Amino acid sequence: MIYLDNAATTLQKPEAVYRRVAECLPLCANPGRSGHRLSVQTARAVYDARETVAAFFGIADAMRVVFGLNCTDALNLALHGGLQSGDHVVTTSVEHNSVLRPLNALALQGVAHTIIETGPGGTLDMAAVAAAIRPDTKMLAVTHASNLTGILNPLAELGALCRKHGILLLVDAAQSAGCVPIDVQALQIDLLAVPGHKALFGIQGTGFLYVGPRAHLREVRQGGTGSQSSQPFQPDVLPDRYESGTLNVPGIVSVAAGIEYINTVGIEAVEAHDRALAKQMLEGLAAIPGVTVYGNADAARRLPVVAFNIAGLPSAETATRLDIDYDIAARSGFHCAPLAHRSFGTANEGSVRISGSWFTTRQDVEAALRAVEALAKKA
Amino acid sequence: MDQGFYLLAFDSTQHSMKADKLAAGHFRAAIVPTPTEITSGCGFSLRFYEGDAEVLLDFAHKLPVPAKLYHLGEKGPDGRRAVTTIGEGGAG
Ligand SMILES: Cc1ncc(COP(=O)(O)O)c(C=O)c1O
Repeated sequence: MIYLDNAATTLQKPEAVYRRVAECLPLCANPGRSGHRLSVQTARAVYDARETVAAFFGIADAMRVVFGLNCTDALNLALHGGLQSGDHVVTTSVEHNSVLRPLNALALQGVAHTIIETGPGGTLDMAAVAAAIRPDTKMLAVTHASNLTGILNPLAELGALCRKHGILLLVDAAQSAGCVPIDVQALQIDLLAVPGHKALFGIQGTGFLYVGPRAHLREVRQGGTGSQSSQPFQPDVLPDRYESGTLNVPGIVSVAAGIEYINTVGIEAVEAHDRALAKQMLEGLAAIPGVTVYGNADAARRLPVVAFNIAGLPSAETATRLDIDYDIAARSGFHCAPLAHRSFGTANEGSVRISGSWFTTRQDVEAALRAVEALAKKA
Repeated sequence: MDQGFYLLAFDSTQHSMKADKLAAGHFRAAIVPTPTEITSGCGFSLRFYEGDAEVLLDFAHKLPVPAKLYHLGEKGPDGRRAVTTIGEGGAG
């Protein structure tokens, strides 16, 4: 099977990830609760992973890495924990529902938001972002890369803009983490939401939020932390404040193993590989008669995540034919990004998305292109 | 005769892991369940098997996480130890 749904979850992981999870599983006592040696060892595994994550993203204090369920969980903590009635948020039309839905729920509680429309090109207009910042703006919530077009937003510029206005920068790095270098200090990111199960090669049920020193979040859950246990209220201390309940230790270990793998091959090598894949996908699809590719075609600023449609063939049918006839896994529909589809004029039809990873080869993409070509011919 | 021991208590078990890592190679020490004589902090403490108050307080001061240094004295008739706070250190 050719798996081109890596933007949802990477299927193939480095061998070390499988091995480390298998090694960890039979030794996973409760981390940080019990004090026997296995419990201590498990807590140490979590701590070591926290340091690995912190180093990879330029995070000076590992305690500011808050492990959670997935990227959605991290985004919910950032948005629900960081905003309150009377606040205003600036966001964009390419956001995933894991940003849009919390913001819509918060709107009912008096948190206003402004959505910057990218239009069909899918690129963010910096002047429009700057113009949307108001005196009551508290946060800019922006994805690093669209999960439909792979187009990367200019984080350094956005970070500088946020600092200038004294507002928080929340970055959804669901698509980009593990694909391009992200340094929270250099980019002036206050809150970074990351899934473990995509390009960091962890298993599912993993993710984290970096909570920078300028961000003061309320916790969204209360419970046991293994600390201040006699106190009736949630402790303030990081990471405990935001990490109630038993952590997903095998998952956390898998994320660290994935990051170590990326460190071994080098993030620059991953970046170059992804750039080549993106170019091949974009140019290959654009050359097929009857195929429409969405978003600005500049491959240098895109990850290998490409949305397209074949004229006369509904997106779900294209994906099914790719799956059944060609053994190629792609994703059709709306990709949890309804406003981006509206910008592309595909709000009713959706599109097909193919997405690669470090383990995707040129041959894989070539096979997909030939399959799309054959389907387009028949359509 | 049991002379008691020094112990560092932390706000978070993850802080104790950090301190444990930094102590390794410098002190004979181990993470232990926090004795119930100490009611604040988290479930893990770093118990020292060597070092005097001055040296350990210096170590505590240099930690990047908040930590409290205690001395737990000889066991009393009820089996509990008298607790003396030596000082606080770290980024508290
Ligand atoms: C841009 C974007 N944000 C957020 C998410 C949510 O990630 P998760 O499934 O880890 O919650 C995804 C993935 O589906 C995504 O592509």
